[in-house]
Amino acid sequence: MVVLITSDDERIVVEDDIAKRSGLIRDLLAAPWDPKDGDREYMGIELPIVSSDVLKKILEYCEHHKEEPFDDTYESEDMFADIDEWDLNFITADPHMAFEIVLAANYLEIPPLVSLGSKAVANMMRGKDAEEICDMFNIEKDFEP
Amino acid sequence: MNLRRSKRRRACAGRTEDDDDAEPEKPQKKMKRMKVKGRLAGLVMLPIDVMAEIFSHLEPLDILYLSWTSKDFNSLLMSRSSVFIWKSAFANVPDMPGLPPDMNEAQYARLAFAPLCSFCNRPNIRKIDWRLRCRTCASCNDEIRIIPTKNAIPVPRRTTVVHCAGHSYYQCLKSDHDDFQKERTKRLPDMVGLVRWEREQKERLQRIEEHAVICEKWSDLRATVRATELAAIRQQRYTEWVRDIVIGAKTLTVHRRIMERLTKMGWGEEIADPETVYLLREETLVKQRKALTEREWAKISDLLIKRMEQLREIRLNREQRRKSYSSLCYNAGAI
Repeated sequence: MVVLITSDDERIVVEDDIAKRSGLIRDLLAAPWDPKDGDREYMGIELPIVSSDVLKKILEYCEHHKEEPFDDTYESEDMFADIDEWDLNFITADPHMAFEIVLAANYLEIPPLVSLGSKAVANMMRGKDAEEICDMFNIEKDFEP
Repeated sequence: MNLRRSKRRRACAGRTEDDDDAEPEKPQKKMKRMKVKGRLAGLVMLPIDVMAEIFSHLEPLDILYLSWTSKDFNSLLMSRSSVFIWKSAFANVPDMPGLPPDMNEAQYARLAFAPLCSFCNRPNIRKIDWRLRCRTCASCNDEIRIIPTKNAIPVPRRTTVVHCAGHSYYQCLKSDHDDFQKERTKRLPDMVGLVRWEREQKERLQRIEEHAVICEKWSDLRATVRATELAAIRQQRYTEWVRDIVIGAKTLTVHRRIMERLTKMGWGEEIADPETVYLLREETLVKQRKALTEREWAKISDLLIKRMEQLREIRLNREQRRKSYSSLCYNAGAI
């Protein structure tokens, strides 16, 4: 079991298999640990830029894919052409979270999720003009062409 | 006055105390709100490979509009290091003519894809003048100057010859013309240099012309493809609409036929009951779209009769309940 500590100080307990989908956690767990520093499981792994709701969502993804071999390549094929149906539902369920998922997945080093999220984010930007993009992502519009 | 002020001060003090009490909660809330506010602002900070991954799915117009959202984005996307983003976006457009050497990616994206007037940003300007490299709305026509061919000099971005009342004219942008004249007067003393310069300008003009021909073909083709797509969508919608009507009618007839048969078999009383009719309508057996042949009927009749028996049971139960309820009411009234 691994304990992950989110940016909002929530401790989430995860099975090793699931947590190890993340390259970052895989590396951290593989690193040697000095018992003098305390109990490893108790200390947990701090993820200062990942909030608990995003992490839960990502773990949901990791759990679904825990059987699959690791894929460390960023594939960029045609938009939503050959995305697995589960993945599609997963990422389109909350389009606003997609961007945070990409950020967190990039930090946690989960390449397939980064590319999935990127597609979702790109799809949100597609065919929108500057004002619509600003509305969608809450950007303060401070530029005039 | 004093009293009020002190009251306020006390109130303020009270609030800070509360703040201290609620310390573990408050900063969290604040952080969350901040994150929501600048969601995409983080995109500027994103590692370049992830950004490339996101942008690789976009077209030039998307990137252009993105660059118009904020100063951060604009400076990011206009920098030389972001050229690869534009390149991948242009690669997503089928058969896109190459970028002319005297334009940058953003200018080219704007000309080819943004339906805005080049001078006043008025929207919905579809027509592109590939020779003048601009889109003009009706009120900005003044920006284009017409000059007679006979005293023509190779002004850059000069468009096709316009024939009018026995004379021919060139069209060019006013600003280009002015710049050109200024440059030319400056070079006047050096005749050799001037001639060379004018030849260079002519060659440049030639290149623009060649590129314009390719672009015109491309944008015509694009417009045709788009029109065909739209026509196909319209056709599709129409077919769907017709199909829905036909299916609706078919389902209705089948439904009616089934009801007729059930009545013949002595289920008339059931079918007359509105609640049973309602339950029966949602029945998949009855919602058949296929025509009701003898074979089809033989297939469904057993199941349907079983269901009808269930429905009768339900109805009888219901009536029983109602009866007992009304007698209860009656008795209650009597008491």
